Amino acid sequence: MSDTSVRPSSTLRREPRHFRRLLAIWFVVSVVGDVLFYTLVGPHVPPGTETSTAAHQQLDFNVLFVVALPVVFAIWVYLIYALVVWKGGEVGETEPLMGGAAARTHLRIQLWWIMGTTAIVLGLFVFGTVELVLPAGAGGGEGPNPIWTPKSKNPLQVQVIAQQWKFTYRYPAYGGMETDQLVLPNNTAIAFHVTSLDVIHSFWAYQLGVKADANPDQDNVAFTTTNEVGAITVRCSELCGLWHGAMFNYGKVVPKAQFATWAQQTEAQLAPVTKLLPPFSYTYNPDANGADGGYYPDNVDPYSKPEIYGAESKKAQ
Amino acid sequence: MTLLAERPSPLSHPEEPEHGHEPSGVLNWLTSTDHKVIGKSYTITSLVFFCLAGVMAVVIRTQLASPDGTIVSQHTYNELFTMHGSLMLYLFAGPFAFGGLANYIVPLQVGAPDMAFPRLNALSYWLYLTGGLTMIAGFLTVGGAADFGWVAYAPLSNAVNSPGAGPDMWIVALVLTGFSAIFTGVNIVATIFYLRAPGLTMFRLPIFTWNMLVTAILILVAFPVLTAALILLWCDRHLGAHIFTTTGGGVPVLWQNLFWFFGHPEVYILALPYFGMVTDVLATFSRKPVFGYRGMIFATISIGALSTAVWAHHMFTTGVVLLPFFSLMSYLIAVPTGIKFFNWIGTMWRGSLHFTTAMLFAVGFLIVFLFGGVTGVLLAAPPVDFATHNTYFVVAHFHEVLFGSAVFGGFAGLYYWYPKMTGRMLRERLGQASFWFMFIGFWVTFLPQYLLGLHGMPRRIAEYAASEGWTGLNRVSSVGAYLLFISVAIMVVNFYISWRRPIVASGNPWDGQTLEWAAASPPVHHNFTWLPPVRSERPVWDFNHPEHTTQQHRQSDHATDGLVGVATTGFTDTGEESE
Ligand code: HEM
Ligand SMILES: [Cu+2]
Ligand SMILES: [Cu+2]
Repeated sequence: MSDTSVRPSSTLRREPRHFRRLLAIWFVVSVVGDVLFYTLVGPHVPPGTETSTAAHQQLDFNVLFVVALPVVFAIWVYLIYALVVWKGGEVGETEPLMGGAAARTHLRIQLWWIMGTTAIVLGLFVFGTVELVLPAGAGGGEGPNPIWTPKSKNPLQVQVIAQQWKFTYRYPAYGGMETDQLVLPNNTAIAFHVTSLDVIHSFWAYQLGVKADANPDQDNVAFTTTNEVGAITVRCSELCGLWHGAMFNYGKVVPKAQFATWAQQTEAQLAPVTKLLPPFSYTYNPDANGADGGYYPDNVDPYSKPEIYGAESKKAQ
Repeated sequence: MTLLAERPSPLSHPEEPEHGHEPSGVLNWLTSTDHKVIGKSYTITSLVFFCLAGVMAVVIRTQLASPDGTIVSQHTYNELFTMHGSLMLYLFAGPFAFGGLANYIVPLQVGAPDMAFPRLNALSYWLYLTGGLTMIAGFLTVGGAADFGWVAYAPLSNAVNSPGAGPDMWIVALVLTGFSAIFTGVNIVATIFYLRAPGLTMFRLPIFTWNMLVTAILILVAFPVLTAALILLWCDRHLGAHIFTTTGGGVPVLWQNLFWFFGHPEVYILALPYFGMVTDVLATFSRKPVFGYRGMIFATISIGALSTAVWAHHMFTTGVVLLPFFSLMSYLIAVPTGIKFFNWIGTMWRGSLHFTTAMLFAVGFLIVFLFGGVTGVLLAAPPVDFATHNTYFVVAHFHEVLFGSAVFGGFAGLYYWYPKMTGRMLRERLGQASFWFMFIGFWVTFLPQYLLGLHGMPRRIAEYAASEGWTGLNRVSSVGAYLLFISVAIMVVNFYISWRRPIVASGNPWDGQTLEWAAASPPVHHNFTWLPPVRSERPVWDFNHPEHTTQQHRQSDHATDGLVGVATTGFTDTGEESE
């Protein structure tokens, strides 16, 4: 730039010091906003602290919000200040017009802005990634071969089977029994294996801070560690057809001993049903004949009801 | 860069070439290849789709206003949000920008007599209209319209789970409008590259035109992928192709990858044109040049480039994507967007601000889009996305960015260029009233949705139990939707009044800066009878404010200006000759 000499420093001096004023207003607003948010709202931000992943998600939201708020304020203050100070008359009135190089660009301040915003987003990226890796995937589905795993060597395996329009849960450690209520022991690492029998659903256990898509023919693994006893609400979080909105159920985190009793009792109670289920497997093929969500292990031919499956069926007939 | 010859002025062929007999009335509309006629048709058609989709939104909000809503059935509800989203994105936000305003304005801004390929342009419109009507007609089929969401995730969208003609019509409609968008993209690129007026170098183009160039290139990158994916989906539905179903070895998540490889560039295809409109509006009504002109252009280009590498941030919970990579890319896109914000406000800084309706909408855009962009930055952190994905938090986020750009930005552009397109002014008072209804209505509608999302309300559900505790916030949100409805109604009244009791607009009612303001309002058949000399990115302003330009040129930081700076003496002569 060849125009450093024409930067209108003389005009600047006659005017109030806009930049300092801006800085002062922004600083006050941001500090007040952040402190109020962090102390008053922060502790109540969902999803709460029932599990390690939930607590981390709460922390992450709060940290990101506390960083983002001053950025929003910076721009809003800058904007509103400009609007108020330079409000002109109606169109057509004559008034001093701005031209010249200073109206077109101000390289130094623009570079500062770019470096500042870059630093902030890179910082947030690093924070977000650390918070993804350390809490073993942060409660998100990691697919069949998770990269980030919990320290605990053998977490409790719970399979989540989604289908139109319900969730059921299988516990391989208890004979592969299948329940329609999610019960978990407190202070335990959990590995969810999420899969679907038909369309894509998403397993979202709100208070647990866990969300993993249920893809057909895929084992989607998500980890968490329970920290508190309490309620669980499970909702389907991917549009899956007519009754998507009705696809939810409830569960609970209970003390370890209580869980053990519940699991043994339920296993015994359900034994006759469990016998009829296909052996536990990470993925299943849906049974086209099973009106009520029956399913077969992977090696069974799904074309048991040909007319549904188009081309193949024509051959079969 | 080479020295460009001065265009002799007035143009060497001031007389209209003989075109033979021109049809009039409906026949003219049906056969026209004039970008102005087509641009207007596009604008009106897309606004009609906007109103239709808006009515659907009002029904949706009414259904959700109380728990266990019974206004519509589950099935109708699914059709409604699917068609609301599809109409808004595919038939309004995109076509309104690149088929409507850009079609009309870009040739004017580059000083061209028409688009590069006028017949292709007409084909685009007719494909678009056919596609749009096809999509809507889905409601008339036995099974109703498509009901699998605007993203049509497989295998929900296959023949077993979504049987019937409605979904097929949705697919065909998108193939048609997809081709229409591709053709418009080709046209815009060719027009900007080859039909610029003498002196109008790339770095003198108005920002709106620059943004349309990048948008058009993004269309050419993104839309063919969607079109191909839709054809595959159609094969799945009718030929048993099993591409997106597990039975037969297909991969459902492949649809998501293909769709979002189109889908994320698409959201910038829907945003960049409006960024451009807002930039032009802010400059005009601040009576200043665009601040950081080149920064704006490079920001647009980098947003365009980055937008092709962030698609999987819509798939964070699928378990099949590399989260940190897509997180990083999503974060980086905030930097060029931040540059734009800084420069938009920089454009107003020390200006002389005129709060016309267009300017109000532009400022409304800044406030709304900023909040949407920042919540986007929150979503780019996978742990936060896990908590909010597919909840009302995301609904609020993308309405702030989409509604912010297409409606606040779009109406800024519409109010700004309406006099150019029709030769009539809109009533300022009604315009301002509609702005305030919209601005307030917008926050009342969408702020509660952030909270609903955080409190666990998933999107795309037709009813909820009173015991969830979501009732109050939902009710507030529905009231906001009615305010928005009133705002649009006022705007329609405004159009009606300007139609019945016109106030004639001059060629340059806003003291505009760019070439479209050198044409009459509305422009004559081949647009220009004369052009001002082009020596900066705001030739009309230079021409009307010579005192100002001279000073500006001495101080200018534009490298190219040295080449033509000597010619400044020609200014007044040109003016005399021209009229
Ligand atoms: C500052 C830049 C932006 C960032 C960082 C960003 C980030 C994101 C992220 C991470 C998601 C995924 C949320 C989820 O998984 O549920 C998302 C969703 C979405 N975004 Fe953005 N976004 C930005 C700008 C935009 C713009 C400009 C538009 C449109 C004009 C837009 C429209 C959408 C839409 C429609 C969705 C919903 C996807 C769905 O159906 O779930 N975003 N955004
Ligand atoms: Cu579901
Ligand atoms: Cu995206």
